[in-house]
Amino acid sequence: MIQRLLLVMMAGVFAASHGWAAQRYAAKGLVLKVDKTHSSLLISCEEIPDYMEAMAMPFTVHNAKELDGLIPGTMIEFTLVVDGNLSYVEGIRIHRYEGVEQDPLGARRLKLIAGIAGGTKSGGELRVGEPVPDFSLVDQNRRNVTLAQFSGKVVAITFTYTHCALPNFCFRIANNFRQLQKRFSSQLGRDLVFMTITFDPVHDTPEVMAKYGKTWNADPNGWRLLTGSLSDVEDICNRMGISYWPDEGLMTHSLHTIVVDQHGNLVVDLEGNEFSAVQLGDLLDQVLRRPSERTFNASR
Amino acid sequence: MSTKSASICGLGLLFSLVTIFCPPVLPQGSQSAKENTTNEIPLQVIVVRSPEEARDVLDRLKKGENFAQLAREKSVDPTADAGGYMGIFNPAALRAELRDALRGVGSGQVSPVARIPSGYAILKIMEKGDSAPVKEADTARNFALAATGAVKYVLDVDGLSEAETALIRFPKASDWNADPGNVCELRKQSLTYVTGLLSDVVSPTHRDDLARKPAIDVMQMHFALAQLYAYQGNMDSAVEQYQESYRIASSDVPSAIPQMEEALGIIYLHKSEMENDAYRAPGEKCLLPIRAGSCYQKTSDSQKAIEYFLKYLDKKPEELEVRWLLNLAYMTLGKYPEKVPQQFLIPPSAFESREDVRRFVDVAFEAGLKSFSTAGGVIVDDFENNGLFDVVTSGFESCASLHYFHNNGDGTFTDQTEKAGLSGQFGGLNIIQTDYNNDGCIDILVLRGGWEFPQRKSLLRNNCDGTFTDVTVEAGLAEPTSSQAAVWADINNDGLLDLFVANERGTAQLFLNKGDGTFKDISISSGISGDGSAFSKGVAAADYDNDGYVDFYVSNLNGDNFLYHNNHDNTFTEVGREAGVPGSRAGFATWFFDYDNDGLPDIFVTSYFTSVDETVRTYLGLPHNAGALKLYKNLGNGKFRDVTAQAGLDKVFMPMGANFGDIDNDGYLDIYMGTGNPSYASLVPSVLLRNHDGKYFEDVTFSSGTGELHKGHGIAFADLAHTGNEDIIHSVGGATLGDRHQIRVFRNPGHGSDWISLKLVGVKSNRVAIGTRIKVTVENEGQGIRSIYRTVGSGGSFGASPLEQHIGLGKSARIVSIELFWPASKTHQVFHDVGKNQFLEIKEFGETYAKLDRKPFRLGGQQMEAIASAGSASNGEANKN
Repeated sequence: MIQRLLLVMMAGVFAASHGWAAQRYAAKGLVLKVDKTHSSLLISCEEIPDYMEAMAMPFTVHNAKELDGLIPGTMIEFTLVVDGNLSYVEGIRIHRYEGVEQDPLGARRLKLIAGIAGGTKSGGELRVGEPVPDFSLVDQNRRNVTLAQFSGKVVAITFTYTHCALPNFCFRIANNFRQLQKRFSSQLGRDLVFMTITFDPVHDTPEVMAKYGKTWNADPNGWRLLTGSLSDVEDICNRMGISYWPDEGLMTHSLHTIVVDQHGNLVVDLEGNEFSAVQLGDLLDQVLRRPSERTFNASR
Repeated sequence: MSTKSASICGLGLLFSLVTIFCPPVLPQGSQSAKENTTNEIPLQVIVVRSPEEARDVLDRLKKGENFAQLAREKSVDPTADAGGYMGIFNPAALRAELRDALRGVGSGQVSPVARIPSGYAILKIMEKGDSAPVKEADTARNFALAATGAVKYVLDVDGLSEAETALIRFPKASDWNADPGNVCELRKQSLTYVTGLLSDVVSPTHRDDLARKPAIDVMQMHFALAQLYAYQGNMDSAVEQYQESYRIASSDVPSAIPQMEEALGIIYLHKSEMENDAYRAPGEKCLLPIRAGSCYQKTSDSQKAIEYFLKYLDKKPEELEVRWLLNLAYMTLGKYPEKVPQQFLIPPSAFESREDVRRFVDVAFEAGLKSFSTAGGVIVDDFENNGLFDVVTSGFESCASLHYFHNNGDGTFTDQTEKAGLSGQFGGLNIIQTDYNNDGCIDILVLRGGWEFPQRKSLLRNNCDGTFTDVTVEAGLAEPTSSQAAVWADINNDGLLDLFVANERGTAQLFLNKGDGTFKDISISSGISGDGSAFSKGVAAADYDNDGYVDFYVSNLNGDNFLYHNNHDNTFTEVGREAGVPGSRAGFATWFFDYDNDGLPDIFVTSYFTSVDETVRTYLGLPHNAGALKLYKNLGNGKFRDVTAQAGLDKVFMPMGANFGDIDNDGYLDIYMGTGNPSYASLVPSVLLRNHDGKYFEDVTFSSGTGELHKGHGIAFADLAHTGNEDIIHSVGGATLGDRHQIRVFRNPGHGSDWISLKLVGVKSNRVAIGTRIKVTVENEGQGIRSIYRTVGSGGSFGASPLEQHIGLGKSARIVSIELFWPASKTHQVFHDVGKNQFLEIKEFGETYAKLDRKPFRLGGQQMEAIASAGSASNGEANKN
């Protein structure tokens, strides 16, 4: 698919390159893969108006140092330079999620207070690359679900509460999975599993989660909507860096989309709501590709 | 319709032009969004990510491609999987952008492209022949398209969440919440602890550490500390810290600048109010519109507020919340409307009532009802059986006790909290009265926890000697829950009052009164506990279907409200949906009342979208996105009809505590609602709605002088001074220490109509007659005969009026008859040709009634004369109605 898109892209480049001077485009995208040895990276680019549609593209950089600090899931801003047949990116800046809407700002503030006040029971927040401890929760059909049972599969996890009152937050995140169900229909439940964990288990019982699943047409085998005991949920959320605070029936909370690879390691932590379902899908595509490569390497 | 004409329609031409350019417009009576916005129509939608894609989709639709197929293929909306079917939808419930796009679109036609936050939308009104797999709109699925998804919530500047977090994280024993006194201690300690830690972290000695942190986090630390100071009402320190976070935003987090400017404006306005005693000695200082004579003496903080609001509006001129606050700030300076920049002016017409019901005057101070408190409940009733209404108040604040105000019988009250044994009763968002042991002395139930965390309730037995004893544990009611609403009703007609508790966090509870001072928990077996996801904020009781057994209505913050029909065997069936009483979601205060005097209890329920923006829309006459109040008329067949719009109640007010009474003694029940939410930005007026002959409600807030700007909770209607007019007692105050407020006692100016007051005494039925039905038939001179209906109770779910029933009879009335029905004994009593304007006591089974000897006095005592004459000098206009 990427190759096909690349051809489309190259056609665009040729079309745009009949001029003499190099064209420079301000662009934004999600890093899917970083290859330092070849000074290249794969980016799920957002649309560049009047130039190209949103698509996943490999790019080279002239200076490999530009790739420092980039990992899959990093959102970047950069300049795309198109000079005749050549194209490359430069001026890469990491775009950190700094949502200044009331909700994410409030959640982050309360997390700071909680950090200062102490009192967190469980271990620290996991970092990308670390193994994710197993957990046990209950899904929308009241089945017990552990992370370990999906060993060998890629697991994408989001966190929510079902009566979230802002369409741009939980709703948008849930809609990402809904859209990706179609894209990954052949892999979902086999190589890939979606999990949505509520951080309001008092209200979000398995029945409530089942109803929520219907809203999103969730395939019960591929998309597990999970709840559990307050302490279990709290523990998982703390490890994953999710902060959530009751606010008169609503909740102030942070947003994370987490990807756990086939070996149970946390490989992607996407904060916020700035990425699209397509970008998340491109990222999952990359993670899904990895085991076959590794298995292949290992068998040799 | 061709795509070309669709795109012409999309240019936003005037409606009349659209009808010319976009034929065929539907004939009268067919389904069309423009014909009647209250009509529900079947809709489909496609949402795509870019305008190019949207144009492409429109093209393909024009070429005859199937809408549902394109939706499945292209749409990013959750409806895509269902072919874009949204269900049967009321266009008025759509986002404004989509409402606009649907103008002039007929059945079978598609709308022009509308830009919405989730993408570019194209709607289709389905034709009769189209198959619709989804009949009922899935509220959650349609959230990105619905008006409720467009609600702008109020900016939280109050520190409540920060203080709660401090408490949650503070080390505690597992049973920390079993004793309200302990909760008070932990609240204080956690606040001091975290405020100390944070001020240390941001102090100059840690400058180097801070320099290594992301600027947004340092900004947030100052903001968090500011919030904690604001929570405590330490406004100088709060301002200092908000300023510091603003400084950091200005240099390093530019996207946060507007929010910091708004916060500073809000905090300066709050500081200005505090410095000018608007909370401790409110008088007319916080009655909207603030009159020129009541503007502030200390002006610098209001000026600062204006400065920051203007900075904000310079960047975001359309934001109604800040525009509104700017106008209020000018009012505090006496410079409204003249000095308000024209483009931001809320016109004075927004603060005018169309009717004059004469001005109510606040006499709380003169009457000795001095209660300076956070959000809380109020009970007005005769706790001492001396024919005088006493007043009990509570506060949400963990360290504030109940207050018991003994009625001195001369227009004044004395705080006898200590003597009553109530000084150790801390906290309590709401309180209600009962007589659970049928000893003829009114007891108190304290509801704690609210939305925060479980705390124990307190059942306070009246010892019939002016003192109370906490009997919660022996009664079996001590399990901590998070509640602010409960109702007493005799569910099995055994003459004992049972208790329904609606909990905010967790399942509902029903306790069966065993008659020996203890209760049996039948929450599960009765079928009312729910799944715990409803977040119930209100509960009311009435026998809505006249089958002789009391039913319950529960208002929920999450999802539809519940109507529990009594199966006559201590079990209930939830019939809310089939009865047609779902509410607007975000339910809060609720009650049954017979607003149109047809003998059937109707349902009123508020809707609590915490949005200043939406509330301002009400005053500007703009369409709202949030759910409105709901009035459901009982049809007498177990079903209700939504009459909200025809009753003039399709409005958003941000109501919290609310109750009903008859302010003008016309026999039709009026409504008063306290408003707001914890944020200091939530400065919107309380609302007084006058019932016009059971047909519609008119907003008389401004002419009555009851438009309290601050946070309103418990509300009671009671004739405190035996004048035959109901005064309004309003427990004002927010959720934080910095938002405490003096109680309001609005004295009714009188309207020259007749009345009767009935104290009913149960013999076989419960002693205080809760649930007894009253029918008063009157003849008003020249207007024929009519009946007025009441059911004994304390009124709405937030605030408790006396159980003794005050009933307005209208002008020049003659009481033809008073009929009573006691459900527990199935007893009917009828009394003919009863004299009006008097206080009567009627016992169950009694052949006669007793006249109670009650002398009128002046509420506020002797000092009252001066105040009343001063009041009438400035508001001497007679009732124009």
